[in-house]
Amino acid sequence: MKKWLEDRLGLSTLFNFFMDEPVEGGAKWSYVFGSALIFVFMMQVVSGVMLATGYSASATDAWGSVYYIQHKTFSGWFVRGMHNIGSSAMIVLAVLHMAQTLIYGAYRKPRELNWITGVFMLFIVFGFGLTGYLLPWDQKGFWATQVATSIMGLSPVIGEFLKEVVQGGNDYGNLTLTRFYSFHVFFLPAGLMSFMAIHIYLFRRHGVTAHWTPGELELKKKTQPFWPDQLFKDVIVAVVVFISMVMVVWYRGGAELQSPADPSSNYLARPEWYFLFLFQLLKYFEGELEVVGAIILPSIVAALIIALPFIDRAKSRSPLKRLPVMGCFGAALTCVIFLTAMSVISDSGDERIQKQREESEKIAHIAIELAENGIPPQGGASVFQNDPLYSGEQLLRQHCLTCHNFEGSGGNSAPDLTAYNTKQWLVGFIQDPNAPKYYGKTKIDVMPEYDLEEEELSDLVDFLLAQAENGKNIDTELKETGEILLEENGCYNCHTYDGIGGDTAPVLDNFASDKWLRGIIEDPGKNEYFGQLNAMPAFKDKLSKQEIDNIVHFLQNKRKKPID
Amino acid sequence: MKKQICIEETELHTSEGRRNFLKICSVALSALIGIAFSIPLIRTFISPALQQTVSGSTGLLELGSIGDCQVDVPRKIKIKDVKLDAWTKFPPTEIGAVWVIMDKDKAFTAFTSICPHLGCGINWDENSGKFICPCHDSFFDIDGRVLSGPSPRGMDTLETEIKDGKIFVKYQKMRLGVSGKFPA
Repeated sequence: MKKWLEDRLGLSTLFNFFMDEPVEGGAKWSYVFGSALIFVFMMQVVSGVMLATGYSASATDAWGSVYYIQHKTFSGWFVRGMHNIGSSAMIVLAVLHMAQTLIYGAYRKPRELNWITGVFMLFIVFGFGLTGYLLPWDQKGFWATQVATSIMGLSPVIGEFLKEVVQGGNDYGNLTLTRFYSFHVFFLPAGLMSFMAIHIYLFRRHGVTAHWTPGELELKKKTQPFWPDQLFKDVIVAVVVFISMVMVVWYRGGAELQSPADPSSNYLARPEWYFLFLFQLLKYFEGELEVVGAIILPSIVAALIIALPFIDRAKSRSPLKRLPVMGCFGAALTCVIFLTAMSVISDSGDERIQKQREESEKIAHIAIELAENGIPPQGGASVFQNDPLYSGEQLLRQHCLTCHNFEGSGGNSAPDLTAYNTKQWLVGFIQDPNAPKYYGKTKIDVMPEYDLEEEELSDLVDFLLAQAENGKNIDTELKETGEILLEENGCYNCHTYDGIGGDTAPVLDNFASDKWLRGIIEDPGKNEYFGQLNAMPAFKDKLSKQEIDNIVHFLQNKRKKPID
Repeated sequence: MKKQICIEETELHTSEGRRNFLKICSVALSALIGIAFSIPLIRTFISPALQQTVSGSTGLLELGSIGDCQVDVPRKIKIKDVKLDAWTKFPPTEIGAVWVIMDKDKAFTAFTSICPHLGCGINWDENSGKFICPCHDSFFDIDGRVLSGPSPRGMDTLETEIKDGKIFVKYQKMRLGVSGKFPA
């Protein structure tokens, strides 16, 4: 059987071709980083493909699809979490790999192209991070990427054109997402794999760059086969990397999802951690100089890194004989770490920023809770319509504040709705119903002022408000007290309660209840409410039942909350 | 290439026993990671088959008032319901239709318009007094019984309720192409 396959497929020959490579000087732990990168990349591909079975690259649906993966799909949170931490792992391992090859002088002749293809791959990995960050179309990704494309726009000459090509038009929208998605899953993987093939071919052609101390004969004597000696070390490192990633994902509960992108909001934009050094750098280049910090300096540094094999003129490979290169590398790394740290410290010390972060977290939580009921077809931020309180407040402000005042804004030709029907509001009302705050600005001016004792007034209001929750089932003593007060003060002359009284003022049954309030909004001109003196429009034909319910819900919620 | 010659020229700085140990460990550990990672990946992949992803509201849907029905005259009424499609909730839209028939005793029957054969929409032909499915010519009588054609069972009835002069129906989809009536 084995021979049958062997004759046709030649698997052992193929296997030996790839695996039976001599590693001069022996297998070393310092060589593991390249393989570790391949390992993490393979995990990114597999997890990425799995995420693609559930992700939708449209501005309307992106957030919802990521929400669904995170909260509804079995193990979706874990796969997404691994993909997210994988991107950070790639950056860390790439820098370690770069450092190791630089220290060993593995960029020197004849391996210059190895180095250059490697640097290109580093840029591509950054590209993966940048394009992936936008895909959930949440506040974080949206605003951070806006900054990035704006920076692209600063490029001399081609800036605007480049920006519009990358973002798919004159502004962020559907085409931005489809474009970024195609970069992320087609262009960049193709680019990375092409460079990887060249890089590995070149590496195999020239062999590993061993430690600089042993001579060539000594290295040859200690040669070990790649398989299994080096590969074993690679596998151990892969296991360590894998377990570390799993632990981080498990501990954090996977990647975060901020609330849906809202182009009309102010959001604190911050890039992913591996771009923070650039973010910090930009702070030192204001106004006209911005292009220097954003484009010119980074381009110069990138060019120097690429040209390193040609800049290094040292005769020997030993790091001690290449102190300028070591020095520059050390300085660059220190700068990057320093800038990153400065950025983090600066933000964590800024109270305003911390507050904004907390706010964003709260809103993100609300968005996710509301998404449980399904997101409206407009997608994204329309999920907030699901929240009756949120929706209720929006509707109130939109439809009622032409006449009514609420918490400092609005008109004043109708009663102030701030703390409407709370005890304080009602106490003030009974004492002076025609004050400007109450009905003074309306045509309703027939209710007299009542100068009651504090205790009586309190009892009367308690009695009225007891209707709101319990309707007819209020405490008998309270009901009796209330009815006596209504009698003594002549309320029955105009108001009806429990079948007794006049009909030229609002009926007091179920006072301040949801039903009562809904009725006023639907048709305030009805006889059981304000009758002929009413000037408030009837909303039963203007707003849907749900919309009126939301307004009622909002006002009642305000009433039940104690005033700060 | 270079390496083939190298192996013969140099002494490999290793031993047979050690090599075997490293080979076995490498394969075993790689397999472990592979299996560990593939479990969540597979779960994610098969997840939609284990959940309900597209659904409507549970309970009864309103069809209309009974006053509009005539005895033994099937009436086709479109059903409106919200649709939950993975993460999106659509406002009430048409999701299907039912045939409602009132008999002389004012009892109501509701048939889903979906043919139990392969899912096409059944029509009522006034002239012949029969239900006809246009796709494969299944014929049904006014009580939904199969008269001729490939349908494996009669038209599927749906639960109805009358409240305050209105008809409500429990809209459900049934499995197609089988002789027994089972929810899909």
